[in-house]
Amino acid sequence: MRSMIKYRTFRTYIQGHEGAKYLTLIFLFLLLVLSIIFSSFIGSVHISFISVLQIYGSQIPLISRFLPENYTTTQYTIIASIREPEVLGGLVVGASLGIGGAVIQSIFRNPITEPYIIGLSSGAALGAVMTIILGLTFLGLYTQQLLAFIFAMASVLAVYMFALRGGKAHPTYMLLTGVALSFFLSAIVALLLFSNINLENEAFFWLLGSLENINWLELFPVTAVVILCSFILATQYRELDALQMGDTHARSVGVNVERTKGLSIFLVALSVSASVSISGLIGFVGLIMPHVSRIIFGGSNRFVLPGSAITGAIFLILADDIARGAVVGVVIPIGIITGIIGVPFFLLIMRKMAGGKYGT
Amino acid sequence: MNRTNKTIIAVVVVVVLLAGGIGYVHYASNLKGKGVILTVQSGYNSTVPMTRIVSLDPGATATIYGLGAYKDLVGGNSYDLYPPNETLPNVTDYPAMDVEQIVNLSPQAVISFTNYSAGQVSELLNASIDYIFLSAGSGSSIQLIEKQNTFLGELTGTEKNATLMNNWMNTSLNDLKNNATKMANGKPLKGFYYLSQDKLWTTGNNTFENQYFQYSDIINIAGNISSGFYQISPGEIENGSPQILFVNDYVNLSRLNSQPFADTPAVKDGRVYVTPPNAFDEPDFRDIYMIQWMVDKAYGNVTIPEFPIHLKYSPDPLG
Repeated sequence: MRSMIKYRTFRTYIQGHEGAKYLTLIFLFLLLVLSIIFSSFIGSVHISFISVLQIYGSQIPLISRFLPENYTTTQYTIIASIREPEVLGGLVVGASLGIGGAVIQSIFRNPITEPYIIGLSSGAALGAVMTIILGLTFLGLYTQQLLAFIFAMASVLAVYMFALRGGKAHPTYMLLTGVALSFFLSAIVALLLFSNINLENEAFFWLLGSLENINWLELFPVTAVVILCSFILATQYRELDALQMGDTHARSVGVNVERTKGLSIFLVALSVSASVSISGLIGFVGLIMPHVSRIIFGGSNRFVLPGSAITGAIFLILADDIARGAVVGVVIPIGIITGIIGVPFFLLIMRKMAGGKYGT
Repeated sequence: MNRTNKTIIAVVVVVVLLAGGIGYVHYASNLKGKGVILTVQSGYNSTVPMTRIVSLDPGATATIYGLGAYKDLVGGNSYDLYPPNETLPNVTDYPAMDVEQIVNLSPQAVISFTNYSAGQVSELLNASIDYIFLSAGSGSSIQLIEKQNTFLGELTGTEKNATLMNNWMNTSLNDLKNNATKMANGKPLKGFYYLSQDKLWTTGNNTFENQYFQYSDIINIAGNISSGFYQISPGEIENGSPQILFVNDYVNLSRLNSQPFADTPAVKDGRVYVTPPNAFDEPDFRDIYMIQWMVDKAYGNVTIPEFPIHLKYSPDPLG
């Protein structure tokens, strides 16, 4: 009981002081850096912690020449070509899902929405599963990723256009359209899987998501897209705060409601589509991390957006560590880990920090 | 959005693009040179044999052993059965592939018979490891197996042994076919291969198992119905009326006491044969012995020439 009161007091203190919020963000950022270094140490091949740090240092211009090189070429390849893109992939995907979830929840004023609700996940799933089942390769080695991205964007566009009436997209109408289209596309995905049950296993892995095998060539463009979209979304925090209070209130304080919604949904769709195209469908992060961030920082998107991005990234990186390390030689789909570990974790945080109450 | 925000966004865009560009150039310049994808069709266009190979393909492991190049393997897989007592580190449990373990073995190439994801293949190629894709399963044939033998011979510098292996296969196949035809005496048996217990999976046209039926002079009742591995209907089995049944060792034999098998001549005459464990699973040179086994069960004992390469462990799965 005493510890619960302590948590609540701590939370109230953070939410009441601007400086404490910045300090908390810095603390979370340091936690993120630590989780990146820690995760680079985990793998089926043992590489000493010092070697991992030296390999990281060797990639930093100017600093590299002053560092010793007590590692082999194979160790360098394992860290730089295999673990680094996977860990940084976790950062990029987790951040985009976290920030995307926060934005979508603000726009729809609904705590149980997430980026996938606007048809994005089912569209991406259709693109990816089509590639697997039909054996499509016409866009080269990355046909699956590209088709997942294109189909995800097309689905969101279809939902938005369908929900658009007289230049306005009503949130509830759009939400229902998204849910309906998701069911429709999921049925087609199921039909494709049913038509070639032999490939169900391969598709199953994509549908549950994985950071394994993310490489630099696909990570670079996705990172650029996610950083750009996230940054623009972060600058929209005032408009998103206003939208949380309702369209009428937002208009009364001078927000161009439809333009803000359209732009924000487009940016979330772009960013999350790019992310899921390389990771598959990773659930839970986009739904829960914005709530964790709100529990810590309160309701303003000024802190909730970066908070969601950082907590989403930390959570996904650590979940990937468990996915890689739980069974030697086998990588468990990360969607399983995020569900099994994430839900009790979230319930615990809710209980400890929010004390059973929740509100913005 | 005010002017300040627009300026900040523009600066961020430029910084991101610059950082991404520099990062990519830095990464690309540090690559030792990308690996390439090799297939039987592309061939191995080098005169220098590979001496560090990881095999994720049980058939390739067996063939490389048969060619006398087992010393060139540095990693294997959990499905490897031949040679027995394999001591190679296991680096895969399909569909998972432990790329870290593979890279740690510093191989020149990884052999695979199945479609790993583009991401997995890319990681190997980016680590300067060649990816060798061998076709298997549906669509495979004796001819393809022989091409794979030649290809693996070129890869390991054992071309002469590959030629010996292929000649032995062709001579054995001729002997088996001639003897089976002679013993069938114009009345080839109708046969069926019961592949999977859950449903009536079998092997149709364009499978290596169907070719084995042909070399054994047995009419595969599933061969003219469909292609590849497929689920046959109970009625088609009843209509086919097989006189001999080959049942995969995973299938529970009590299934044969009910329809559509119970009334077939094969079951009534007791001509039901369980395939030796893991037979027919991988298309490789050792399947010659399985064709010999089929002819033996259908028509009577036949002999084939002795395998021409001296090996510590006999390639005959029944030997």
